[in-house]
Amino acid sequence: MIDSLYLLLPLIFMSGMTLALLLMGSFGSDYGGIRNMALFSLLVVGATYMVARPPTGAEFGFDGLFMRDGLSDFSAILILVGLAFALLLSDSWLRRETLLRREFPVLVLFSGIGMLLMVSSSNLMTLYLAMELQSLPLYVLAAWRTRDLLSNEAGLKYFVLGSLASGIMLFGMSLVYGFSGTLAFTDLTLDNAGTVAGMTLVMIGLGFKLSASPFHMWTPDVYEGAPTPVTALFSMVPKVAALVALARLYVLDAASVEMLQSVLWFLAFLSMVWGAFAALGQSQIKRLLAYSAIGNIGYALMGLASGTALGLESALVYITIYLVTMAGVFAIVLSMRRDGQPLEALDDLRGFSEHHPVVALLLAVLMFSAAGIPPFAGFFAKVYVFRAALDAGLIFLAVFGAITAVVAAFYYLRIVRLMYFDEGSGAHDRPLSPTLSFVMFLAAALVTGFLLSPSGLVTVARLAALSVF
Amino acid sequence: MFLSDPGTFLASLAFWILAIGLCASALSVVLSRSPVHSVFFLIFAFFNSAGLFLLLGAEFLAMILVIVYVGAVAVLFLFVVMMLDMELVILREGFTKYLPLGTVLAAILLAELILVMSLPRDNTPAANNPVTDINNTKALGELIYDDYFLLFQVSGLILLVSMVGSIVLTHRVRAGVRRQSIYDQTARAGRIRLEDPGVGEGVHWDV
Repeated sequence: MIDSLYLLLPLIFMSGMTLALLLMGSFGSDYGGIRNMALFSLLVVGATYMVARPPTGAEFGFDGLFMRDGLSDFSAILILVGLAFALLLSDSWLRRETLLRREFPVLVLFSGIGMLLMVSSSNLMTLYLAMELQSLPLYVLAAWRTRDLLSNEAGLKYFVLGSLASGIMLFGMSLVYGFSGTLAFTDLTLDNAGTVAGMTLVMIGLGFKLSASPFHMWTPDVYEGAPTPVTALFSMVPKVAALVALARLYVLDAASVEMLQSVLWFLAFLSMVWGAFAALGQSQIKRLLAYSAIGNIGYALMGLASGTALGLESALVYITIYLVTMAGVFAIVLSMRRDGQPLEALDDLRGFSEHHPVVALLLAVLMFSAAGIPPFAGFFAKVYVFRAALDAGLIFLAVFGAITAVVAAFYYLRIVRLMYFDEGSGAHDRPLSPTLSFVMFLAAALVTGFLLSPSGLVTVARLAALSVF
Repeated sequence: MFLSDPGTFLASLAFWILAIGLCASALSVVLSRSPVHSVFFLIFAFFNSAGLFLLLGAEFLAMILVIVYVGAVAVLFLFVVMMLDMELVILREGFTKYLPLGTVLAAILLAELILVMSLPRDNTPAANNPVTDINNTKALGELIYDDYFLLFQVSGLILLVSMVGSIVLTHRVRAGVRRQSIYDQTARAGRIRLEDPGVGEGVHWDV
């Protein structure tokens, strides 16, 4: 057991730091200090992932409970980047709303430990516990604005539906254990109906966490009710962990891909359709982004559904680009205020370009990217996913993906129209917080500059994807 | 017959005492007039079933039953029952309403029990476990603290998160709460003055 401890080094460090921050908070350190320490520990954990990596291929620790391979390390770095974005974004908004409490970064880090463990689990028990550790702080964060009814509703709804998902997942795991006698991913074979049914239930549980349709019911309400920085966190990070866990279960072996492809096909198809059509009638930015999240998860799942290394690679590229885009979009949403009040309606964007030409341009770039318009990164993300799906013969799914992409492009471009061609609804507050400006510039630059060297991200994602095949 | 083997005799004697005690206290939980007495009978029932577990050789379950159920759950019940001002009449109100359904459920359970008892027994062991001299507390300990050490630690983190989360969500600064502030309570600043009487003043001697 001791010799596999080095695999766990990043997580041990992060847990230690989180506990230390909790103590620092209770002994009266201020929010800024704790946030900076949290960011610093994310940086160190990322560096540890880079340095203390397994020498070759997949490395198992703790009798196969825990594993590290290219996929886990890639997604861990992605999760850490997302968490850092979330912490950077939340600061100024929380301060303005007097919601700045020292437990915020601590809970974000706790959730991060759960996510890092989730992408590294190679046993259903580890996966379940990691998922609980990931979800519990998120339930609390959704209800962060304790005096607000909507926020309470969001927290409660998320908690109840999340527990339901956990229950379904546990039921599936017990079926798997009953029928196959093992919980380790390496020993699992889907050679009887009971195991397949159990695995399907586990995937449904993960589908809840991914907000994949038809298990997306909580998403719009939670996104709307939760404080906006928390919504930003929800839309960036937990999806990565759930997607990677789903990928691990899906590509156990050739038989599992064959057995479970219809499940993923169904999830991807419904998510794309629902995410595109239900978003059309939304008037709140956060609700719109919730449906956009559902649709985008559909595309990532379409890549995954192909069950090939290319498919996993395209899903990883897609989720990475989506994470960066969302960081930028939320940086802009979080900076929208008029007379000190946060703005959350689409109508508040009318005539945005007259008063804030630069921010409007950044948002337009991000929206073009999200809509999949060349030459922005979102276009390439969609192309990779479609290529993987067509390669694996999922032609019907790819065709429907193309149709829903056009429908979804409509509501992304509507935002651009509101900003540039509609009558103004008045200026927003200035100046913007420097951190938010930095994140929105960075995201827009990354989304635009992806064209210059797409091979960097794609190569890393390919190495990560190949490590499980 | 019993007397030929004192061990068996004592075991079956203990079984009958515990079983009768369990049934009697379980009945008393339902029938006793005061909710507080009900909870005490519940605790007695827990002790009796812990004894039964001991007879079966499941000493870990027996300990857990006493520590968790008696030590925590039942005491919690007791506090709740003592704090709530419950009217017995209201508690008994639905008794006749639910009696038919309850009877049916009890009959089904009884029928199932009789069915199970009447089936031919299959005495082959469920799994091919080698019989060792490890008792089950030690076996569980090895599983939890050795094989699944990682999972044990993660569960600890989950519990910590739930504690932090519930405190964050429910704690708020209330007005009018008297907190101990040792400095404020012992400080004499503002309440004590140094007077400076002039020469020939400050001392009064009334003859």
